[in-house]
Amino acid sequence: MRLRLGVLATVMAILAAACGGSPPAASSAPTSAATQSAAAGSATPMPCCKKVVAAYSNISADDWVMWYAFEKGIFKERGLDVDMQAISGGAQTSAALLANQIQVGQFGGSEALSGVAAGADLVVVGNMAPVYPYILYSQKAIKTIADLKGKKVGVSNKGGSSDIATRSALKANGIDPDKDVQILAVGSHSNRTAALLNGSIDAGVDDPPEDEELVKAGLNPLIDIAAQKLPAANTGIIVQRTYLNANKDVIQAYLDATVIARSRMAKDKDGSITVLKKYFKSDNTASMEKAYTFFIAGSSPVTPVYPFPALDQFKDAITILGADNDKIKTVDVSKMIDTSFVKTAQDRKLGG
Amino acid sequence: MRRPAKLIATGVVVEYWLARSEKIFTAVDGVDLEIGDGEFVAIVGPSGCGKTTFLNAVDGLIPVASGSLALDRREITRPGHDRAMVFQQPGLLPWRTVLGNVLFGVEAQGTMSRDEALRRAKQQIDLVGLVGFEDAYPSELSGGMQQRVNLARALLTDPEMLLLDEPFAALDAQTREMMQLELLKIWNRDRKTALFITHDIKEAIYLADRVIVFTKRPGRVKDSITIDIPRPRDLRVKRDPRFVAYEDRIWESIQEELAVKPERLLAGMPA
Amino acid sequence: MSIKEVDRTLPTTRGETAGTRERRSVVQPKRWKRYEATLIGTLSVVGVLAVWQLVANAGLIPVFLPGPIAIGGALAKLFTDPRSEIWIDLATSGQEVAIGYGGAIAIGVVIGILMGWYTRFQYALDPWVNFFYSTPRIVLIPVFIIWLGIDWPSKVAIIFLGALFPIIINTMAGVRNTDAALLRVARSFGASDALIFRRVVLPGAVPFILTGFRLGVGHALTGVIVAEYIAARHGVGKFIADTSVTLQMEKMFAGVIFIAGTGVLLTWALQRIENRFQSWRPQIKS
Repeated sequence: MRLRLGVLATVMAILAAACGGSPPAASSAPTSAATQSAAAGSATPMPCCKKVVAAYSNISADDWVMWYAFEKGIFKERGLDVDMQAISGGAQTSAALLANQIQVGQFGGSEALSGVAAGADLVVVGNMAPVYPYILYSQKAIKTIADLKGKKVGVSNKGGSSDIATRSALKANGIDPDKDVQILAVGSHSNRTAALLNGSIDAGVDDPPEDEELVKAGLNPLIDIAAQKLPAANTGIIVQRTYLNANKDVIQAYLDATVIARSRMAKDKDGSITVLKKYFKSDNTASMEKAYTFFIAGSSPVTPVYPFPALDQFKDAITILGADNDKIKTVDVSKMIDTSFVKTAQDRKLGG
Repeated sequence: MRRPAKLIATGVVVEYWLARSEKIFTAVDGVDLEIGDGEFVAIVGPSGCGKTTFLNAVDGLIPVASGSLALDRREITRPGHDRAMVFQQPGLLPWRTVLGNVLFGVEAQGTMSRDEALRRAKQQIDLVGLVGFEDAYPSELSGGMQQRVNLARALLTDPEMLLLDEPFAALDAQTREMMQLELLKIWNRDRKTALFITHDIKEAIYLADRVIVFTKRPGRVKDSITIDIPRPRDLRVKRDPRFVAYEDRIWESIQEELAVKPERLLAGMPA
Repeated sequence: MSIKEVDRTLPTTRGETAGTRERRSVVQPKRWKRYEATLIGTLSVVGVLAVWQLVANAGLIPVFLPGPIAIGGALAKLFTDPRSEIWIDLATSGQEVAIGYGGAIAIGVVIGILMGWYTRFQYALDPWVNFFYSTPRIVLIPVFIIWLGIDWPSKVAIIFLGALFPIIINTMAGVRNTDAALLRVARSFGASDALIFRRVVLPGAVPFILTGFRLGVGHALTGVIVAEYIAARHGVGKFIADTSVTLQMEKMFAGVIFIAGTGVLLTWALQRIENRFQSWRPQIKS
């Protein structure tokens, strides 16, 4: 478990917001109408290169497409010089976005929802994991769902994707997440995997490629959430609206690159697996192949070619977050979503 | 007048161990003296001659390296109820009132009952002239008043011998004079045997029956001068020709120790 | 005679009448001076709050810094909303602090006295005290959680360690700081070691010990928050962690106010105790 820097980043957010929340100068140059329509209307990419800082919030295969696009220079092809950052945890990534330290964040839609409820103006322009990709694993001794009672279940952060997924799954299976188990925040996806392996938590959601390790270590796949294909805003592509309005071309180029990368990955198994191995720092080809099938190439892969955000993906988050936070009810989620960029990519058939 | 001997010192040697230079330092090297019962003796001498060290040995705070030091024929080895010291710093417990401080001495010795001690303490406070200040804290008292408390505390323990280590050195000149007068008045009541250390020759002559001059370090007795001025002595006696004569004599004695040439003395230069 | 009376009876110089002589020695302070500290403190706080609220009203500070009125509202709602678990949280953190801080006082004073009085004991413990005092407790929290679980024992351990060392160090300083002149006087009266300790060393050490307590309060309160932040089931720290991560800023600040308020209260209480024990000190007034 690592110390969460949530408060620190939030304080930064406060200070930055208090001093005036304008996006950095580098990317706020007003784009001419011609360039805008050119980027929006044709398959021709922008001239190289506009700088943008983008961050992923976990070492999780949800972000595989982003890594692939980065490694294979697809962002550059579309005219973007992406400064790709790794931030540990969705809450922290959200805070970094709000502090204008990054322009594009890939983190949970639930965290974006909390931000909007608190008064931020965030827009979800894509969703890399529109269904829960998880299985709830438990330590060997816990063989049935009822055995979970009184045990410690790990999530990354309260109010994050893993939290929403875990709570929804528990509730659906007759366990009250507040009363029957202890939900423990461990900070990030990797922390959670480590905690499951070293036994400091009794259960937690996980997905390929790590789940192979877990099974080998004797953990039980207790609830297969992924199999149910429930809608989820698990990993959104999120930006601030002020940035979006001033940089539509950048957002479009980003989404275009994402779509193109995803379609290429379907035909480039080896290349995809190499990238995954690099980011997971693992040589386990078997797990990587399993992840490939699960996310990219199987019969109903988790990661879609066109990552549309949608209202029903946020349903669970609204229910769960709304229990503690009255402001959630005031959020008009439809305004928080912008499908236009993915739509444009689809119209131009960038995904093949 | 021949008084029975109270304190007898024979060949007293007191040494210190200097940690830094790892040497033995002899502060007092063979002091022979006798103090009679009820006698007030003052010791003067050049700076560093060991008079305070000797006094501390009499109080039993430092051991005697060789020779014998006895009070009423009892060898002195550690502090006891038969002696009471009045230090230069008042050493009052700041969180106690005057009354509480005066009681501290007998409290430490643990021989007197609480009621008895209270009764006598109030008497002592009266004797030293601090009536009305029983509930005052030391921080509210002047330097002279603090020393009076110091004195009262020592007297309350009713010692056989009173030891005073330059008690007035830290006071201003006027208070000092007043305190000397006060001390004589207080001492006059019981006439306890007293040993008084000072740098101030006038003070020594004024207070004492006898003034002893120490040699320079390591200290021994150089001179013993009986002061033949009748008591009671008021402050004006300091200008009496006999007084001045004693002063000259003692001053000369000390000068010899410092080996200062007369010309330099006349020019007012320090030794 | 009091100092005032002495002053009045001093002779006047020729030409001056007693009546025109000013009594300069003791000046009666004005009645309201006694409340000066509270008055100025309150004005300062109210002033800052007012400015803050005005700025918030004017919309000059966006989203993440709510105004004091909003925070006050959230604070009130914490107690009125039936879904709120604030009482459990307060009780949990309160218990943890009580046990941890209480333990630190009990053990810290004893160790501090032993270290101050027995030099060999100090030689033996010094390296450990210095080592643990300098170790950031934050890094120890995950270790404690693994050893002691996420419930109150691990939090108590962090709080205890945080408050312990200032108390040990200050107590030790208090004992060692005993005025040498007083020790000399006591020994010259033949006082036993026990008496010297009880009547000379201990009373003199009290101001230092109380200072140690005051420093310990700050460490104890940060300790409970940080420990709960990492992992806990209930508590004010957990409340702050959860609300900060879900960006519910008013609630988070309300939680922060609990902690800060507790700190102010405890420090004030300790200051009052200190003052009672130090009425004999000469007061510095300006």
